Amino acid sequence: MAHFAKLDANNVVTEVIVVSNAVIENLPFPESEPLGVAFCQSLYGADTVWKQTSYNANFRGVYAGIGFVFDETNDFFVSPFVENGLITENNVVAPVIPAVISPEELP
Amino acid sequence: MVFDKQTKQAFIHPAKTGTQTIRAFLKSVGWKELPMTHSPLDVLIEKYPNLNDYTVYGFLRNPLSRFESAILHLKRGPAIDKFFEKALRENGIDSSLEAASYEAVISVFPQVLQSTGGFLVPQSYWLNHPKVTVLDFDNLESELRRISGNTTQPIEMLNTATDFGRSEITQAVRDFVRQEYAIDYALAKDKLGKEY
Repeated sequence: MAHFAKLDANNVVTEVIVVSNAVIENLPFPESEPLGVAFCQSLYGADTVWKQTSYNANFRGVYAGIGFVFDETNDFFVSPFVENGLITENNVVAPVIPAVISPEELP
Repeated sequence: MVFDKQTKQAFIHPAKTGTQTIRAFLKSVGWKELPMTHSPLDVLIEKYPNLNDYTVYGFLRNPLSRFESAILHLKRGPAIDKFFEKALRENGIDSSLEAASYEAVISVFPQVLQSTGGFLVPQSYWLNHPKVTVLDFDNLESELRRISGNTTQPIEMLNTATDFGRSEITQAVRDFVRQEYAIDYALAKDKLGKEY
């Protein structure tokens, strides 16, 4: 399954939906994204904006949730908790992408 | 959550209790991290039932200093400052984020709380769990060393507050925090024997 986040005009996530792997033709990210976006737009309207998000945080920082902000510059989602970024003295986000852990490493 | 599978120890992270510092240090000494940083323990156990076998820790901070830390964090952002500013504006606080006093913030606290995620949620939301061992935030470094067993790796304090947006902690603010976070004051007394 793939997950897509719907963004409003301020790049705030308003909804996250699940899309079948068949829709994205089992392609990996980022090749999967245009297919998924086209599917989402067919459901919600051609003027809607979508970004793919990873449930396992394999890309774009963290799994997007409602209220998260999509940072276009850094191409990742920022949570209200700033889970994926540290704040430096210059108020710049330094992305810290959670390491992907293998199933045998899980608790 | 950060965890060590070998010793079966883990940390949950109440917001504004040293999360970034704890994560960075423990990962530097070999601990792993789940991409659910601020999730409460019940949510984590539901997804990872083996956590039932772990000793789980969390830090409890002086509620007043944590409140100030959260407000300063909301003021400086990134990202979350937009939500904070919107909540203030929509409720009649017109001063800049930097100039907005703590008294102004508490005057619209319910709206701010609703708009800014978990930064202002009582720490008890995470810590008031029978499986969580509550640690004193004032002993952050020594507790991290004791639990990790590492005495040499540097501990860098990250994401600490700056002076941007600091305001006077008036008696009204003290009274408000004591009332709003009474559950955290009670937890500190019960688990740490501390009365702030």
